[in-house]
Amino acid sequence: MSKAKQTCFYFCWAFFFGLICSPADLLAQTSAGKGIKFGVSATLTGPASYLGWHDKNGTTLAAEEINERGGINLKGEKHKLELEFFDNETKPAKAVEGMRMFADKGTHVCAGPQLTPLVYAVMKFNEELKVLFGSYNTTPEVYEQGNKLILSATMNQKWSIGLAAYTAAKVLNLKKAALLVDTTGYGRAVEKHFTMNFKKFGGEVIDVEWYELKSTDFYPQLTRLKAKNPETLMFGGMSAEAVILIRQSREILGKKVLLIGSDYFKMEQLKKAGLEVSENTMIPLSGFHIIDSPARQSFYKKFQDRFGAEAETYGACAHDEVLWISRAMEIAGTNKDAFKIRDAADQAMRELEAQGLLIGGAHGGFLPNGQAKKYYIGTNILRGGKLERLKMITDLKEIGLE
Amino acid sequence: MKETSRKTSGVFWAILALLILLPFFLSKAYLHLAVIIGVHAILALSLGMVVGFVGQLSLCHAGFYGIGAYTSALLTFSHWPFWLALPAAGIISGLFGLLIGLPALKTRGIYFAITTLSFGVIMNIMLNNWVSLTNGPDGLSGLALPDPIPLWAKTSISFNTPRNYYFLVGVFLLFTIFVCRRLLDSRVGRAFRGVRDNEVLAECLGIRALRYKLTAFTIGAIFAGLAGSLYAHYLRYICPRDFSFAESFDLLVMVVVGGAQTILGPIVGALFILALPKFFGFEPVYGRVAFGIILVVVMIYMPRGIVGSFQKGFPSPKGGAHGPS
Amino acid sequence: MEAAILLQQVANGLVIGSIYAMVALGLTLIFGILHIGNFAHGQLYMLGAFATYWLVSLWGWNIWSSMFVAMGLMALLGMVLERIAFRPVRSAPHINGLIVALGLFIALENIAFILWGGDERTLPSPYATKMITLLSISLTIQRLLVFAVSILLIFLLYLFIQKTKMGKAIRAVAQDPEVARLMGIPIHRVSSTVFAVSSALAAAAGAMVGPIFCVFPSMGLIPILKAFVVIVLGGMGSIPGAIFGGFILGVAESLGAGYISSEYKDAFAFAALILVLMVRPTGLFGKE
Repeated sequence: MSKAKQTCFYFCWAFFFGLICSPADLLAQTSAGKGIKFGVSATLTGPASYLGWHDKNGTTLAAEEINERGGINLKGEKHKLELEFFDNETKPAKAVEGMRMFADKGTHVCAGPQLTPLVYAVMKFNEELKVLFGSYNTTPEVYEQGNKLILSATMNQKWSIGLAAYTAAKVLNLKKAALLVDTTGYGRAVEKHFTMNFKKFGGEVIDVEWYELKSTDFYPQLTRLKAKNPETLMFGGMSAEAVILIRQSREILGKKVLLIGSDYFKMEQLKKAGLEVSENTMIPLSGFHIIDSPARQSFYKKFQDRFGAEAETYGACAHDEVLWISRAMEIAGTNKDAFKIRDAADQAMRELEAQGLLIGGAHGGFLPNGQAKKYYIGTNILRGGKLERLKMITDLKEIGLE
Repeated sequence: MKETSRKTSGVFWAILALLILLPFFLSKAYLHLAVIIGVHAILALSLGMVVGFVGQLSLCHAGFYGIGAYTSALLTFSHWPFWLALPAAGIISGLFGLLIGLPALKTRGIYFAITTLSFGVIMNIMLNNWVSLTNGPDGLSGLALPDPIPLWAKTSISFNTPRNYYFLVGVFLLFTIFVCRRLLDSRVGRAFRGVRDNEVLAECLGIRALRYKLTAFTIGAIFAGLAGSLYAHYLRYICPRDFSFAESFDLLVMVVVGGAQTILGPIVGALFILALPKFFGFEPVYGRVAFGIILVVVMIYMPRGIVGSFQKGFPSPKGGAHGPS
Repeated sequence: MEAAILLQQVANGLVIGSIYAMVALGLTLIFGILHIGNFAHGQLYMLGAFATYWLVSLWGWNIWSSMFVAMGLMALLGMVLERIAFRPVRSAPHINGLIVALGLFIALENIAFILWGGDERTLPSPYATKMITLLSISLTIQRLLVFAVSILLIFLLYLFIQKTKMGKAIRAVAQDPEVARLMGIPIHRVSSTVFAVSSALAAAAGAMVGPIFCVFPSMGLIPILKAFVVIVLGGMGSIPGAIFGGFILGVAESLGAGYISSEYKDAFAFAALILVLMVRPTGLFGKE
């Protein structure tokens, strides 16, 4: 083959290949149903795939709930709610791509992305693209950026960490604390809020150790902490690390040190780590694990039956996101005008709350910056193999914070 | 040579015309992909300069990509205009290329690969942990768009659409191809080939191998830095994960599978590798399994890569005495 | 108290060092006879851990039998990979082999991801929650076992290489493949055996570490990177180099993390590598 022909051959081949290589994409575009599209940007793969799985299931149940009642009522006409899933692979760049894709397809409402770095990435674009999204698992700083199209589905570190600090200092009377957190914004938020609040309540943070995300070897940091003799150790950390954080900490620090987990630590992790090892560990439990309504029980059971696992806060929060954004669409009478929908969200949440349909823990309506006004949250400690509640609040003012 | 070059010119212009018209027919989603492919084509070419031109396996190239991106981001945060930040990113990356290349190129073969791997890992660790500079794992967001280029009559080309960005990237890609072509056709290019094919012999002939290897390495770093800047201001969000070993690996796959010793090879490789996951739509992780297997197969049966195999005729099945370069 | 902390850090380092040593040993053996830097070795570590995990979790086997079976399975897998992926590039430039290994590395990691997801799972082990204190060092029995088992396996390997016929054959091929072939040594069999043994070692390392550091698809990256550092520092193809290098790296890292900086812990190994290669571009005990 002459050089020119070759050039032509493989260039055309490669380009053609590239162009036709999205049958999935093309099909998705042409098979637009008559329903109202609701985007779900989930971390289905990547380090947070655990969350993504719960998101997918929680939103699915929410959509079914809505469709069982006839769907979304826009200006008198009923439409089915159709979820459109996008795997953002726990990558911020992908999350942005997902948001762009939704905007392209005329989907202006979305549940997720759910993690701080992903949210930071899309937050610069979603107002341009006019896509409203709900999010949980983000640091409070996210809501101080002035974004007008974001809604928070769960309490953030101001609440969970503030309450943890309060409980350790005021309820358990501990004075010397240490922290073991990752270097992400989440870890830093945990450090910032705990240090600030623990001090406020009369204690002192004597050491902070950092680790890189996805580390599994905490022995060097723990050995350093051992030298400082803390009475309690607070972790940032995600669910997966929780087990080894607890075990390794017990190994190095012994049984007397109170371990405090952050939002990601659940009973499941305590069991996996071993109840004996997890003795004397405190975890915050939010909304879903505290509320005991019929809606909550029904969700729990449906989740267990359909997906074969215990429902988590994550799925519940994603579920609520779909619910209140859908209701907001009904109130605003549109599924395209993101700003109008956002404005209706406050009323939507309060209506759903009154009907007892919310299960994630957020309630009371939305603040102008997108955060919910109130959350259910409590701290619990594992004693004798069982979780004992130490403190529960629905308003930060109850512990002197705001 | 001259007769085929006239034919190649014709084909070249035809393809160019096609690529220029394309964005007017593609949807936003495809344009987005095209921009990403374009950026990676530049990146792959820049790695091709190291792997193909001088035959060394560099595993830290994503680090230069990252340095370019972060430099550009931080400079624009300090109110530098994009059009100054872009070349600055290239220059700073080039500087790092020089600093890393000087010690690294003293080693060869697998030692060089491991050395660059180590540098790459260190660069990534610094991006992740130097929080005060880079904001750590959460990355930098809200990067500015390139400033609009003013035209006549108060209109200007702004870069807030993927289509315009596509052209911007296209221009830089053509520039990169141009530089590669000129380098290869020049005396420097011949020296590169000499060093690649037989370093000892080249040294005997008076070619200072280290100098040429360093040149290729540094120029590769410069272009990686430029690509980084283009990427950063398109996506307007960057984080250390985008520039990890996984990315260096992806680039390597593009170069090797496409054909390291050619100019078209890395471009075709970039297109192939980035379009492949799209084929699987929802689950890109299947695409990565495919990359790995394709890489193995290519290295065993077609070590010259797709383009390379066409250009010089098929090599013997075991790959013969030639590596990917 | 100071001394206790120091001892603890050293102990931590010895435990992690034994993992480095086991993985590096396999890597160096393969390099010795094939001159290929087998990156994919890290995935045999990971798959060994997963195999053990599934045997324990699904079928309730005890951890020791699971580990042995996993070692056997990985030995088989290693031999398969050698046959289909590495043997064809044996006579090609060594860089080709490295690229093949990289390709396998990525493919295997993502296959694991597709099959089992990215979640970090804790390998259940009765030894992981029992703690002891030796000379003011706190350890779980599991960590002690990691150290003890690796010493044992390394010793067994040493015996194998030094005292058996196959071991001699391996040493011969490592020294000079051409002469070895001329002397009638079955190179292919040697190659297979080395892969089998190396993979089994890696699997054992993964299985032992599963209860402490979790089992997940990307668990192989850092150990294999560190193993490369170890063999470059210790001499590629050198068995004592891999063993001592592994332990030294583990302890040095632990002390560095303990007394200098814990976030940059991983960087120490790589920085050390670069420094050494600058002074001696073929490693501390390198032959080429």
